[in-house]
Amino acid sequence: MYLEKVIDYALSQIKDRRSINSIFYLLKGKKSIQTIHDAEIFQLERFFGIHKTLHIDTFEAVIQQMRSDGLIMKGAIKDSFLSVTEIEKVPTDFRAYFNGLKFESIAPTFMNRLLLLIQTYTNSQMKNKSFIPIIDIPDIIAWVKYFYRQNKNREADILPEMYHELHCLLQYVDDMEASLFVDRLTGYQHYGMSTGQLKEKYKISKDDVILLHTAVVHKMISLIHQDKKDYPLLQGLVDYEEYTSILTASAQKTFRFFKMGLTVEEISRKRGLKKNTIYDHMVEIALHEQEFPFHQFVDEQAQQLILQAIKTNPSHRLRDIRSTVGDSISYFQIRLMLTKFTRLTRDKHGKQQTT
Amino acid sequence: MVSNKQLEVHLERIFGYHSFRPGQREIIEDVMKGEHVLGVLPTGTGKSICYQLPAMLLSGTTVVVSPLISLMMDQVKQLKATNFKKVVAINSFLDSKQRNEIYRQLHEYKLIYVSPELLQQDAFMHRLDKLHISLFVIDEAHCISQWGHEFRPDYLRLKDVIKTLAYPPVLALSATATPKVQKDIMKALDVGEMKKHINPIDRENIILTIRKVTNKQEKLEEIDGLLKKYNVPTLIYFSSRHACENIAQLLSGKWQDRRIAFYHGGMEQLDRVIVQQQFMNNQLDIICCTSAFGMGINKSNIRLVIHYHFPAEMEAYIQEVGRAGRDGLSSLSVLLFAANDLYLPKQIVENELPSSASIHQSFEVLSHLANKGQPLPINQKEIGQLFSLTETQWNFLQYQFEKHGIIKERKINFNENKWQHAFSTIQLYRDERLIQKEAKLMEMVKWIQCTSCLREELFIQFQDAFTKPNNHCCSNCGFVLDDWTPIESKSSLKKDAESWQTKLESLLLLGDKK
Repeated sequence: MYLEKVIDYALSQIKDRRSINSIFYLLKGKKSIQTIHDAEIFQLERFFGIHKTLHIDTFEAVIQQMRSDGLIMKGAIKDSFLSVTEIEKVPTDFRAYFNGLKFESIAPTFMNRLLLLIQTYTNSQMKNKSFIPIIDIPDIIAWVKYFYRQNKNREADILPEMYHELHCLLQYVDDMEASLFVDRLTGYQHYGMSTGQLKEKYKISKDDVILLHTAVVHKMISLIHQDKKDYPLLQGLVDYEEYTSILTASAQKTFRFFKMGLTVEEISRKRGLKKNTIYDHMVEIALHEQEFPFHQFVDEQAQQLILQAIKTNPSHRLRDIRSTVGDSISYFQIRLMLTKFTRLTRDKHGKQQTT
Repeated sequence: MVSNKQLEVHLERIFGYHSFRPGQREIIEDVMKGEHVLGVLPTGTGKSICYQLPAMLLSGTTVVVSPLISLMMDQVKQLKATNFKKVVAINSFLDSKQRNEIYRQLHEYKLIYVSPELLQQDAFMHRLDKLHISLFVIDEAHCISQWGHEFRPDYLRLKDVIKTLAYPPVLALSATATPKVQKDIMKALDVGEMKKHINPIDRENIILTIRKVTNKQEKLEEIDGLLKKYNVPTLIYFSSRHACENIAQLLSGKWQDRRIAFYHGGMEQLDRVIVQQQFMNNQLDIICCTSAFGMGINKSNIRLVIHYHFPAEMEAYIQEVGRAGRDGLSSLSVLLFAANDLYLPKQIVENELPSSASIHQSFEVLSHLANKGQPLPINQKEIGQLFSLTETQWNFLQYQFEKHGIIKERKINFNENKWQHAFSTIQLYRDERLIQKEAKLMEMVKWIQCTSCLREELFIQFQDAFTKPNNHCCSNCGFVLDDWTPIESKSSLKKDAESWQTKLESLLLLGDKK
């Protein structure tokens, strides 16, 4: 039910301009330039990477079901669909909680730290030194140990503060959503519910449990981020370093060389990567770097030409745009301008919302 | 030298046990003397204490080879929970950063668990060689024999590892080793004389029963009957993840007053830990599971073990049934058998080995990689995808490829003539393994069908004698369900009507019930 709603909204944005699998990759959070780019073009950044363990079979089955329920119908290009129900507007339900592109990597870290922290402090308060940690990721364990040592002198305050902040945050979501979140937590001599058990209790699918839980976590992080001073304890669990690195590790490396003044050819030689790979990185960087020097790659005249072609080809398909602008313009240049175009429309969209 | 009396003192100090379980002391004494030891102890009688205690008392490092990563992780977690901190598990799940971190401080650990494939890596062996190894343990040693349960070809290389480490004292442990397998172990390790400590693996307090049914519906009726009669900690074993989940859901719907969950290898790590710990913590009454559950679980009061599907080997059955009644109290095993159940284990057995077509395909992938001058991928998952093989299938082929000089670590040596020959040899060997596995399956089926004492027929091939219980023996010796009156667990089922606010409050210990 929740997965369907997410897909339906994504479809209402993308329409039949991409194949249905683009939504699958979006939800999985595939770190490819195409997926990230699509997320931005269709303003679906919020759904990026919100269900990393989604299985293709599940996804296909849901699409089949939605089709036979008459919720979606075949679109113009191959394997594309159109939503028949959703009208294009920003959702107000759980779907509004997501902030995938920003939180997809910090949300799991936040949640794992929270789970282990609660288990540790409740056991410590009950003077139980030996328990099996429910999170066995070395980085998380090390972090919790560090936190515990740092806060040694105010150990007794942690749980009440935690309660206060969690209670406060959970006011912002539905009771059912809050309840699902709390059921997942583990404390002293009480292990939280597994995905399978939550599925049974709330009578929703396994994938819906995952989505809804992720939604609540994203909502919490958004709230913490907005008012850090209201959540002094929990804001410490958010890893802001991970937060900024949306670039793939490899693109980050390329970016460092680029900032040192190396050309694409030089970076490609230095890194032993194909030139096309470096171009991919450049597009990725252009998408996120505010001050990206587009003019270094596309002169002013060509920029205007390509932007014009983008406007007349609403599908944004590279091949269509290229046939409009002609062979003197490279695909790389078109892709760069697409990112610029995305940013322009996004900024305009942002301004409209604030006025 | 630690005297016998002192051993007990240390046992209590470190692990909190007052005395040894049968069989443990004899093994530990010989280990402490520096002898090579072969120990067979039944499931659930604390095999691991046999090396964990010496590891704490001996001066150098104890290395434990363990075939299953999950088992390894469980053991390490449990040890850390009992304040045994100088312990680590090293396996292919660690990323290079974590691994380097561990390598740097390798000498600081008293106990190091490793997976067998790691011992093939020069970088690791080099580091291990620099340590003072006071004990080299081979857990689940039956994996070394192709007549054993779960043959692991890479165990055959342990002989060379022991040689490289200049023959430290060796302890080989198993819960399921027939005399034939015991001989194989000693031959394959080749360390000279080994002190044998073979303990009977039959467990007097577990009643063995088989219920023959005609279909799935009747299986469910049998389970309903059992659950109606007995409210006790229960395991229900399945061979398929799908059935495991489905039946769990069905039973949860029907038995609202019982807390039921499922567990299998396809679940997320967090969910696996959660379900396991809920069961340990008496938050669950019934677990529907596959064979992935139970390893490293030491819940003492499991009273009932039901097999919805029967396992493909008697050794697996003995291990799974052995999870019941570790506290020594009377417990019941019920194996449900329908004639068309034969199909599933047959398929599973076949699936454990690569098919003829996938061996062929693997050779093609290899030559493709060789042509491009590429090495094998590092990570198991990538290998699985590249060759379209499961982990067990790849383990099988990897060893064969190495044996035939086709691969060395990640390097591929292309030689067309040699490969032709290797291909047919591997094919033949695969067929031979399949026949052996099917023979084991048939043994199991034969046992299910037998009309004489189940206990006798089950244990006869493992040991000379077994203990016949005074009253409840097996369903072929006149046992009927009405005779059994186990100690019922007090059902502490909490009504889940609390608001999330109240739940959060009590979870964080802020309520009045502190």
